[in-house]
Order: sequence, then structure tokens, then C-alpha cells
Amino acid sequence: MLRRVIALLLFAGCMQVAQAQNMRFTTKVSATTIGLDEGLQVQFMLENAQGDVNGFTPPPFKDFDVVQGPMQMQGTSIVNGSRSDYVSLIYVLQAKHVGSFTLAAATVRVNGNIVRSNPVTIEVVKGNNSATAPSTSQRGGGFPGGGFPGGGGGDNGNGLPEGVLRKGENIDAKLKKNIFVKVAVDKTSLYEGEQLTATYKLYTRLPTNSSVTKVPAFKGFSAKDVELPNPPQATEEVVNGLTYKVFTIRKTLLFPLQSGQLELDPAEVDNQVKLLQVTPGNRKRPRDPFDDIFGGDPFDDDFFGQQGEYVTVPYKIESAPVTINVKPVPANHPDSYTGAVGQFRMDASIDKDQLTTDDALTLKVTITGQGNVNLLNAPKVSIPGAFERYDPKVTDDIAKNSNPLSGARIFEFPLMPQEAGDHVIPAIDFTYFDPVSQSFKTLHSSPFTVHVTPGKQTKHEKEDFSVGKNELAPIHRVVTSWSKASGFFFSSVWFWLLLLLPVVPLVWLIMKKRREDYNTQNASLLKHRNANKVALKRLSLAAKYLKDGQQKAFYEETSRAVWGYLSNKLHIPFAELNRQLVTDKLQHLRADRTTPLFELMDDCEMALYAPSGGKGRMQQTYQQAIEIISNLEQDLKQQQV
Amino acid sequence: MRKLIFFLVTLLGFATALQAQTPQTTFTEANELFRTKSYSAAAAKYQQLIDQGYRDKALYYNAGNAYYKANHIGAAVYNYEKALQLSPRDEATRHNLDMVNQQIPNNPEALPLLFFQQWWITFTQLFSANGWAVMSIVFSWLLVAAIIVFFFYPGRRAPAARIGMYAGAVLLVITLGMAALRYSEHLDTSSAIVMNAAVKAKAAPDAGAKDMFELQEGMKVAVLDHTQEYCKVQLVDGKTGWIACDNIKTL
Repeated sequence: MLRRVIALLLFAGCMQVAQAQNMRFTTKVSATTIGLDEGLQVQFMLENAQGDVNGFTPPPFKDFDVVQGPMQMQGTSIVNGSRSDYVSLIYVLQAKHVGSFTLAAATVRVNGNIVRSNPVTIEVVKGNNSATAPSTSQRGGGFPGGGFPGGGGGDNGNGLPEGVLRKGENIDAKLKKNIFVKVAVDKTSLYEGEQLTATYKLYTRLPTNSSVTKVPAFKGFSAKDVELPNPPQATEEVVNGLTYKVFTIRKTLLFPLQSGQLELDPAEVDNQVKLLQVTPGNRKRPRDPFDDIFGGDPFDDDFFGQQGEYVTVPYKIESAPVTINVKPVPANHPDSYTGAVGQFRMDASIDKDQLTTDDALTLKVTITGQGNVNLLNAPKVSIPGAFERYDPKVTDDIAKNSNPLSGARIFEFPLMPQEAGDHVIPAIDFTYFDPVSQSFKTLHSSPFTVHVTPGKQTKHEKEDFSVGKNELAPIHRVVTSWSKASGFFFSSVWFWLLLLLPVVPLVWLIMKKRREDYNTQNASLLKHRNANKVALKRLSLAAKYLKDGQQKAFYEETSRAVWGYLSNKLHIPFAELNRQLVTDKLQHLRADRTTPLFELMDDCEMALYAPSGGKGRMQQTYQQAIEIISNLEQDLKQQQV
Repeated sequence: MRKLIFFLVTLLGFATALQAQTPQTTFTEANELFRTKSYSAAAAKYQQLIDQGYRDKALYYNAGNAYYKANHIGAAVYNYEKALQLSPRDEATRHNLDMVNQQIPNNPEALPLLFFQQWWITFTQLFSANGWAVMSIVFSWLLVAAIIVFFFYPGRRAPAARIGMYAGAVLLVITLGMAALRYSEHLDTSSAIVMNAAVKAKAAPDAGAKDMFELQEGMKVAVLDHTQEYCKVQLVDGKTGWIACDNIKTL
């Protein structure tokens, strides 16, 4: 129901409005095939004629009787921003006999040129022809106040009916006052999911041909339309002391899907309001109506025994938007709440309680009541794992045109037992929110016990033993070892012990070698360090010999002290010691240090084999030896640093 | 006093008698339950053995089968993964796990591995963690023997010892590394299985956060981060989100 056309009154049949700016002169008929006893409306329409228009000649109506007319109409229409004026003359004819007749062209003179309308062929058949629907038969269709044009009701205070526009009266104000669309809602503040009834009504006191051009979309709601009687039935309502005819355009049951401020969209209605324009004065009716319309004062027309003429005024109206305040349902809802709002009953049953694994079971949950039945979600059912479950089948049994919406929704859960044994389907909980008591109510079913026996399933059993694509490989029969240990060798102490075990002999070997090396090195180091002391000790022994005057012993001891010193200090074994080696080792020393050393050695050697000199010489040698050794000691120390 | 001891001893005897049921008996019973389609009961028996601390591929595998048949997809995947940890190349386990994974709705598939990644995994799985560990011990002994010969008792054997030293060192490093890697895989707690159906992954660790996507029971996720009650998980296709930690079970 996107577009419902409400015909309130069809005065002139299919009134067509010129689309183009250029001048046209056309003949229009209400039907091309009529019954013998039916009326035919013929309209000669001149659109967008500018300048001098006169000399209208209708075609001869040889085979017809003129029942009514000529009636004159004039108007302006604006379509898509382009304006067009038209003048038309209307005759109502009745055929005299059966047959096919051609209405010849009518002529009119515009600015001196004769313009012809199109000829029309009319087929007259016997009796009633249902294909035709002369507009006159719909005349009574609900004009406020009854008849046209001068009916009794709808008096606006000075005796004139509402459909009459007096001179000087503002059309807009008049339309605004007499035609409007209203939205009636039964509440403006409600809970999410609660039902809201919105009724769009057209109020009118004027004859109008209306069509709904825009229907509300109801964003944020789930909408369910109530079927309206067709054709629409008018009721009467008094608003501000005036009686209006009221037509229901749309009646919808709305269920808010979200909370917050929601707006009901406006409905738009296009009206073609027909008004009789009344003019004061009473002039003689001219023979040629066009003369008067275009040449004289068109308002001074005495037309059809009335003072005035009919104009069609397009009028677009929109209902005022309505804001609805939707409250969310309280947050503390139980887990089993799935969005049901209203008053409900629940009935749960299973179709059998004893079956084999080859059979299937149906769990049926019926929820009946008033509220958002059409939006109910399946209650949460905790099916034990022993059953294969499928999505529920949902069937609705909603009472037609019920307001508030009531009915039942049935959920059928097919269950396939997979396991033998006694299984319990736990009780089903269904929670709904009752907006009247503003509280959650939970319904419980009783739990169901199902006894499942192993079925034959011979085919299944076979497949179980083959490793198919969609079959599990069979279970293992044997466990290799019943050990509780985590069994990680890597994290055990034994692993690291065994891993590092060979390092022990390696370390032992290394230690052994190092100790040996150290010991040998250490001996020569000690000798080196103590060389001075040893030398001085020997020299002190030599000093004793000097005192005693033992010349040979003195020189021997002095010589040994010097050589021994060199041997220790230069890491040269005593046996390998000779002058050349010492010279090599000491070559980096200054010559004035080595020279006295070698002189001293020569002295000692000579004195050993050829003793000469006396105590004084010995004393000098002794002094020399001490001096040389201490000098060497100093030099070698500096060299080490 | 003596009476008390006697009493304690008899009590102890009773306790052991109660535990006398061997794990193999329970296992056979569970297998029988499985055969008669009492899958839940069978799964409970297998679980009982696992809870007692027994670790075996066949046990985890059978438990996986029973859980799958009893419609506990999450527990089935978990047990199959456990079985694969113990025996990564077991054909039956891989087949069943693949089959279960296919039945999980919207289960993202991991990108296939590149050939060298595949080779690497095959290589690491050549031996178990313990196998690698034993090998590393053997090579450490060989290495030390070669070192001793080379440094302390060289001679005619020196060239052979040198080769043995280098080879031993390389092989020791490799086997020790593999042992450590395989061991760390078992300690790895970054993988988990979703145990509850239709878990909403949130954008932030907070119950009011926006829902990002839905996790199905049995999906394998990587745990990237966690707070007290929320875990940040990543699916194999790279999507990440926060879910309550009690929805997943770490492998």
C-alpha cells in the first residue's frame, strides 16, 4: 500500500492538465465506448491560448442529446514549475441510438486564426457497459455537507458552502483551515518492543481528489499495517467547533526496535481541491463563453445559473512529525530474556519420550499472547550434546487485524539423538517484559526426560571402521605406556648431568696440565725474583772470605755470585751459561753497564788462576761486584716496567 | 598407640584397594562405552584418566573422538591438539582434527607454509624432545673425547680428532637446540582453544567494548596479551580481539 488514492469527489472526470507551454485545442471524452443509457462527457479544452479568443463553434451533436452544458471551466496549473492556463467547455451527452459515431472537430478563433480540435469516435453499445465509469456516479462520495454545489452542511457563517470561494477570500488560508492531515498515536512514551498504534487521518471540509504521495517509512520501528476498508469510509469529527469528514489514510501497529527519541515521519498528501469562485453581480450570460473569458471580465460570468466558476487548486499537505520517546527495557533482565514485550503464555512439549538413535524428536514451544508476537526470538533451549540440533522451524498464527497484536508463534526444534542413554532436556525458560507492571516475568516449562536406545544403524557402523573423508578414524585400543611423568628428559637433572659429565675429565686434564705449567714457570720466576738476594748472600759469604784473607775462595764466591745472578735473572740454566749468551741477552743495556760486568768477570777469572794484589784489590772487586749487581738489578727492573 | 597404627595401616590398605582399578581397565571400559555410543560417559572416563595425570597420545586421541561425538567441539579440538603435541605426525589424529576443524563455522584457514618452513617443521619433528636430548648427550661425549685426543694425546690420530671435534661441536649445538625447541613447544602457553560457543571478541578488555567478530567453539587462537580476566587473542588469519579468559583453554 504505497499509494492510496482517495477519491472524495470527481467532478469533471479525468481532469488533465496541460504539460506544455504551447497552445493546444483538444477534445476529450470520458469514455470511447458507452452504453445507450449512459451519459458521455465531452470536454473541449483550449490550453495556453494567448490573445484574442472568440468564435467557439461546437460540432453538431447529431446522434446525441445534450443533457447538460455547456459548462465552462478555467484554471491554472503549475506542473514541474511550468505554468499553464486552460479554458474548457463541457457538455454531457446521451446517445440516441446504438452505433459508431464521430464527433467532428470544434473550432475556435484565436487571434483571427481558426483552430480545430481533434475529432473523436464514440462507440455506443446496448445496455450497461461496466467499462465506463462516469464521474457523475461518484458525486456523492463524501463531500462535507453532502450535495454539490449548494448543499446544506459545512456552513461557514454566511450561508455559503465551504466549496465556494468568495471574492477577496485568501485561497491558502481557506485551504489551510479546511484540509489537514493529523497523526494520532495512542502513546508517546513507551518501552522498546511495546506496541504503539499510529493512525494517519485526513480531515477535510472541501471537495477534493486526494492521493497519498509519500507514506511514512517508520525508521527504527517494526511496522504492521492494519487493513483498512476499501473504499475508505468517512467518519465525522468535530474539531474546534467545525465538523470535518475524516478519512483514515493509514493505521499501523508499531514496535520500536531501539530506544531513544524516535520520530514518526510525516505523510504527504496531494489534493486537487475544487472550488467554486463566486463573483458578485448578475450579468447576462453571453452566447459565446470564450468571448467573456478572454475578452471581458471572466468573473462576471453568469454560469450554470450560479454566479461563479469552478477552479481546481492543487494543495499539498504534510502531517506534523510526532516524536516518540522510547525507553529501553530495564537492564537487569534475566538471561532468558530475548526481547519479548507484552503478555504471553508458553507451552512446551515433545512428541515422544522413547526412541532409538535412528529416530528424530521434535521439541515444540508455543508462545501465545499479546505484544510483539511477530518479533519473538526463539527461547534459549539448552539441548544436551547427546542430540544433534537444527535451527527451529518457526510458524506464526497471528490474529488478523488484531489490535493490540495478538496470536501465537510456534518454534519446532528437531532433535536427532546421537547417543544412547537417558537424557534430560532441561526446562525451557521464557522471559518477557510486561509493560503494564513494568517487570520481567519468566515462564518455566517442565524438564523432559528422553530414553534413547541404541538403534540398528547397520550402515553407520560399517562406515565407522573405514577412514572416510567425513568419518572419524577409529579409536585406539592400546596405550603404549601408563606413565604419569611429563617425560621430558630435557628438563630433568639427569639430562644435564649426562650432558656435562664428559666435561669433568676434560677439566681435570686441563687443570693437571696447567698445574704442571705453573709449577715450572713458578720456579724460574722465584729464582728471578730472588736473584738479587741470592747474589747478595753469596757476596756476604765472599765478604767473610775477604775478611779472613782467603783470596781464592773470595774470587770463586764472587764469580759464582755474578754468574748465578745472571743465570737466575736471565732465565738461562747455569750449565748453558756463557759470555756470548749473556752479551746477547744484555745487548739492549747501555755499554757502560755491561763493560764493567765483563771486566769484573775477567778480574775474577784472572785472580783465580793468577792470584795477585792484596787485600785492597779484593776490597775493590767486592765493591765493584755489589755496585754492578745493584745497577743491573735496577736496569732490568726498569726494563720490565 | 599400637591400635592406632594398626588402624592406620588397614585404612591405607583400603585406600590402595579402592585405587586398584588399573588405568588399562578404565581405558577398556571407556572404549566399550564409546562402542555402544555412550559418548558422554566415555569422554568422562577418558577425562578421568587424563586428570589422574596419564599422558599418552592414544588417551588424548580417544578423548577427542568421544568429545567430538558428544558434541563438545572445543574439548575435542583441545584433546587432538594435545595428542599432536605428543606425536606430531600421527595420521589418525591429524585426519580427525582436520575433519572437526572443517565443521567449525567461519573457521579461518591458516596460510599454507612455505616449502622451507615445511622442511623446518619436518626436521624439528624428526625426533621427539627426548630423542634430541639423548642425541645431544651422545654428541657432547664425542666432542669431549675428540678435544681430549686432539689437545692432550695428539700424534697419528690428530687429523681424525680435529674432524671429530668440529663435527661434534656442530652436531651438539644442533641437537641441543632442537631439544630445547621441542621442549619449549610443550611449555608454550600462547596457543589456546576456544571452549565456548559464539564468543564475541571485543575491541578492548571491557565488557562494554564494541564487538569485533565472533569466535566459535573449537577455534585455535594465539594469546598475545592478557589482563586479569581478559585475554587478547589472535586468529590464524590475523584478526585480534579481547575475550574473557575463561572462554579459552591454554594448550
